[in-house]
Amino acid sequence: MTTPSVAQALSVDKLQMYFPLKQGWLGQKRAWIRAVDGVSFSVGLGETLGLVGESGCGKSSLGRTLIRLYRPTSGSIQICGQEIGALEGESLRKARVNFQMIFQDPYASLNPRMTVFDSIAEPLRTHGMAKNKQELAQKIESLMQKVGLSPRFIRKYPHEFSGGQRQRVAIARALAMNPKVIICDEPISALDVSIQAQILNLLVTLQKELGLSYLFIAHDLAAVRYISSRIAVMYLGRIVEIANKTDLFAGSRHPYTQALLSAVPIADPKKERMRKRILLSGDLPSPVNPPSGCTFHTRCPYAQPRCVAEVPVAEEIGAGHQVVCHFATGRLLPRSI
Amino acid sequence: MTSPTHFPRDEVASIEMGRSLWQDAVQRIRGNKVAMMSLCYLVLQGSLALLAPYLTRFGYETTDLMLGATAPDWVHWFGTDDLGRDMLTRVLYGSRVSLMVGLLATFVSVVIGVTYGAVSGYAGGRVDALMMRGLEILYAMPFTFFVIILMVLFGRNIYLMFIALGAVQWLTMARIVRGQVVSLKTMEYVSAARAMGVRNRAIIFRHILPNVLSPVIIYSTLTIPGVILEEAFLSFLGLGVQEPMSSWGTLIADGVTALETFPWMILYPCITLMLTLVALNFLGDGLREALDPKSNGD
Amino acid sequence: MTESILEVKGLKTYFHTRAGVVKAVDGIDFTLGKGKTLGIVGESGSGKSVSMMSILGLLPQPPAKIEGGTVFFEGQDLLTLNREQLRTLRGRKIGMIFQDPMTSLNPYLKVSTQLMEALTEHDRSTSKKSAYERALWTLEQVGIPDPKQRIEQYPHQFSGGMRQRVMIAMTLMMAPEIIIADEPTTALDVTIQAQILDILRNLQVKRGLSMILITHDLGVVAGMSDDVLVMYAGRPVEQGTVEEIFYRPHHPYTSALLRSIPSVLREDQELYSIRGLPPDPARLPPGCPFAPRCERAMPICTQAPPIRRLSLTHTSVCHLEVSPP
Repeated sequence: MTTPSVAQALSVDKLQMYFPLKQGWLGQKRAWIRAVDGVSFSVGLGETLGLVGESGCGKSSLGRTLIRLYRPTSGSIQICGQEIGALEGESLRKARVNFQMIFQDPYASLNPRMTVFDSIAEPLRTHGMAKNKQELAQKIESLMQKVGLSPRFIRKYPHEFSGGQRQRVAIARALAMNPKVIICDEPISALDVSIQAQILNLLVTLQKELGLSYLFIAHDLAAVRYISSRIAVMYLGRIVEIANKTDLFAGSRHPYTQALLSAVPIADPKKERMRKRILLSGDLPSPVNPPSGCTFHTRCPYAQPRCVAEVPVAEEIGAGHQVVCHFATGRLLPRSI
Repeated sequence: MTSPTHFPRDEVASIEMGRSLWQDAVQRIRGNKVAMMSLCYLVLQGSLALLAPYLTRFGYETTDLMLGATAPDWVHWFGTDDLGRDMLTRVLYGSRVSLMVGLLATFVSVVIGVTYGAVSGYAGGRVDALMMRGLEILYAMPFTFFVIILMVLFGRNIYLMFIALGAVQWLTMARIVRGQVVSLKTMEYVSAARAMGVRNRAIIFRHILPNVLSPVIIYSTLTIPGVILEEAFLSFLGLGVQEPMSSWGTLIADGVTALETFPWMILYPCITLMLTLVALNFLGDGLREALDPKSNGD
Repeated sequence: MTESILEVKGLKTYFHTRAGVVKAVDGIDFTLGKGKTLGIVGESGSGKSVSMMSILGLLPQPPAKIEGGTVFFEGQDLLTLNREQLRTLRGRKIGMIFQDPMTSLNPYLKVSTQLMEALTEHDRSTSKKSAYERALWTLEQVGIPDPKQRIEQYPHQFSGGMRQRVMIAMTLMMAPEIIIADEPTTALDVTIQAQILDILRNLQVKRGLSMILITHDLGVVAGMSDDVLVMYAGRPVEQGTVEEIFYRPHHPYTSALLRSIPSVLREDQELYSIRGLPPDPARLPPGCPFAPRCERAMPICTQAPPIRRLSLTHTSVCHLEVSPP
């Protein structure tokens, strides 16, 4: 695990991203989806922070807010010391060279009518990063080689590629501007099992080579364990536990993290059958009307009356290990609400 | 990192060319025989229409009451109508009006429709809502009524008719384009482009419009025959082309009344119209296919 | 050995397309034991779903054509049945659960209507009242809270996990003997996946169901199956009991696959990755289809590999003689 250095690649403070739910005929807003509701964390230079959570927990909205596809409702986002949360227009456009995203679905993230050349050339052209055609072609070729694609494919269209190759094109495109921070939004979940490992290893190699910092968003805890040094667990718009990966897997303290870890199937028949599962009841509550107190109390196997009434605060229980639970250090008692 | 020079020469050469979608499309449509034949036919039809005055010995308005209606022969290839006017001449002159109506009105509808639809869809929110309500109000207006008002206000004018027809046709086009843009806007590659700092203009022109081309082309090829027939209807009401000028629509309308006695009067205009429409459809199909990189085939 | 309920031998399904013949399934054999779960593992395009669809006669023919094989169920070869006979069989004796519960439910009909239909479709003598009662009971069985209230709702009012429960309830309406589950939890979150797998396991124990579980998730297979069939490019590569496959894999593809998935139990320093891409099913390499990506490929691999019997239950289709260490 890298110890948090002074200079952070990405640091997020009390970030909120609310989306208006209903826009009436005259555009009046009636309710808010609290997709991201007060999130703070940081990612060190050259570090990978894993972000896990179930669908609907707000992890993708968080990622998209961080690359400023949305304007945050409140809070701060700093990339390499530059505040980008409130930037607009041309200054935002210029700042974008520092942070990029790799999207989940390589079938949707490449324009079907643009060749590999055009797709990778777009960021370079947009930011005037190649002086002439030759330099442009050279840069594109070297990017393709970096991600393990033969420049033979430069004139091909996305549909001529498999999922894994497309994801390589998307990675090359994200790398084109030499960003410092890359948000990976479930970059392997749409790929075949035998290809997932290739892409994970590629991301690791690129990180070492280029000193990139990743925020790796995923629901696959095993992949997150492999690629990250620290891991944050998100539930209903908030981070409930954050720790370095060894601590998280060995000694998670939040009941949600524990349930999540116990639910991941393991490719080992004996161990898998002997495991005790914490089965959560019910589904994720709506982020429009989140439950009172601790938002997890509706599904928590250890919920107490206090959890309904009081909002828990982050408690530091070890070096860099924070848990947002009333009983982070106390004893967990069977549910009694 | 290995140097990029170890790839064969011809590959590097092709890389530097970096052909665009349009160049690819041109090459692909050249390989499509049916589409190319259709294009040739349409060009021929267009030139014949343009050169009509030089191609025939007869005037479109010259009547020959002594001759009356005659079946096709070596002098009058398409025969003559009941007033003894040469049908070939009238079909040629008619194609000037009809093709012009078809092309101009469709052009007007594409330009207005695509712009309106793209702006509405891309802007979204309140702008979109307002623009769509406006569209619905226009939809509710009876078409003939609208044309009659135009005619009354500006006097009868053939060019006005073109514009009137186009101005009505763009409504559906705008709706189609808007729907496409709304769904394309949420595509991840548009998000990716925004995240890379690509300017709005470039996003619209590079990522959105090329992907709405297919429905636009399909709808345009449907619009052309549509307006050609609309023009016939207007002329029938006395709002369009006036005697002795002819259009395919008026010729067919005349032909219907003489269907049993002088069948050639409807036969030739119909054949020409049909061939043109078939060619347009094939060309449209070929264009759509050429612009779709997936149709490359094996 | 347990009694078998479904026996598939030499099943071949080809697609005749303009680009050529695609051998989507090229000769698979397996036996499903009564009350057992067979896991079929493979990547997309490996033919795992197509083989199941062929068995149930759910493939549009043409372009698909079943070129050979037999599928014995209750003494009948399913491949010789006509459409109507197959339709009765589906649902009544063999139930299916699909990956996406949203597209498998009609959004315009109440859950009650759809559940009752699953019953009355096959058994017209059932009264409406008893069908309704059975529907309620089945919903309770799959762990849907407040079934009395929920049964009157429409599919969109259910979450993804709840919809998958409704789908399971629907296949259970007729008390089938075999359930074929095609990636039943792929679209779900892990905590919901755990719930659904739990339900399937309990049902199986309670009712003695036999199940075919199609999935790409090796963890799910490890926890659910008794036997495993590994497929690659339309062909079986290895088959055996779950212990044999996970602890003593013979085929290089199986062992590579097992090594290439990260685990939540270990802190891996390096992850093994299989090189290359799955082959284009229309242009398969000669011999073993995995050879171009195989670490242990030999010159002989361009010839059709033999079926090696490693134990009574364990077979591997590979030229290698001994298992890799």
